[in-house]
Amino acid sequence: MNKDTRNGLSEKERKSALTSGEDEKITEIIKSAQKGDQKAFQILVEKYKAQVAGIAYKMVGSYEDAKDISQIVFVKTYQNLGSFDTTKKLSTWLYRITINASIDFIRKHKKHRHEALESIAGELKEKKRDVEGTYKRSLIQWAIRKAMEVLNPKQRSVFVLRDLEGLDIKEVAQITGMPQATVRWYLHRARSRLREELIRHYSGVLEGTGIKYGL
Amino acid sequence: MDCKNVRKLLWDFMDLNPEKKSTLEKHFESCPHCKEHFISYQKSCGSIKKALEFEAPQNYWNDFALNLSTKKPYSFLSRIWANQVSEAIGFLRTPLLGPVPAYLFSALLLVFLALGLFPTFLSNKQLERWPNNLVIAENQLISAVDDGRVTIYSAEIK
Repeated sequence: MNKDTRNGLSEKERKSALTSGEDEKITEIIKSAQKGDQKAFQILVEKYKAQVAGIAYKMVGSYEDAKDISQIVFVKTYQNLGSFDTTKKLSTWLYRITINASIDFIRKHKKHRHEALESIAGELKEKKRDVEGTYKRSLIQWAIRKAMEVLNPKQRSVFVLRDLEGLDIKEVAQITGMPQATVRWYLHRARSRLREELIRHYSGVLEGTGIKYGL
Repeated sequence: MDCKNVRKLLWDFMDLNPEKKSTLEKHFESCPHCKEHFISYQKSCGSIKKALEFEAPQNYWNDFALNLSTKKPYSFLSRIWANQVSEAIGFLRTPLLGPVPAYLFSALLLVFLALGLFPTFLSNKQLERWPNNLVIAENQLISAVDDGRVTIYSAEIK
């Protein structure tokens, strides 16, 4: 039997946990990683890297920056995995680290962000051949990203987690460490500020895209 | 609830309590204009969500490498122990006022002490006793000892 005697987890078990995603097996993998098994940790990275990069991308608006942030997140996660309580959800903890790392990144690189609309369109054209759809999507993306710049870190975090990631209020509260009522307040403020910003500066850009923010 | 108040609540529709949601839904039944706005709002939210979706470009993960430390991650107990040790030796890091000001303060104190002692040391060196019992300081004759009696010639010591 192919069994790793160091941490008591076989290769087969690792692979099955990755595909089935059962909580108990994930907990076993986390425990192995806590004992220093880097292969077990790699399974966790494979499972969560797209979600982590997705949140980072929505926070900072760049694929490359999102990748850098994801790397930072997983290194931090590995270094602090010993203190993780396995009775709690790993994703919640990972998302919290991602949000904090993204906020740090935004603060550090605030002065250097000059993203042109063309670069977003180019990024999308690599993936899509539907020219009109791609163009509309790039317009929406550009306008929303620019408008999101007026949001403070807390407003941006709750907006990303709730409205873009679709997490429920309870989970957003756990990730951000805020009470649910506070999350609701920040969400309300974020949506209002975004709406004002879009109406004031980007209504022309969004014309014809189907986005009607100025209801 | 009138149309103006309904539209104020539209943006937070999914986070409203069941009571408010039901009030809005009842309003939509009687107001096709607000209902149209609501549908438009939902479509807009969907479009925004879709536009900002994360779709990893081709070969995106190819250079995704983690520089993990080869040592084991700290366990919970070892972290507590590390914190206790850190606290115990904390006074070494902050001798007086805190990290940087304390070191600066200590360094300056040492410099001033050294500068304060330097003139005394220097003057002692300059004060020489000659073999014939004459005391000379800065090239001036101060006193002379002759058969147990001291004669002071000048007491002007700068």
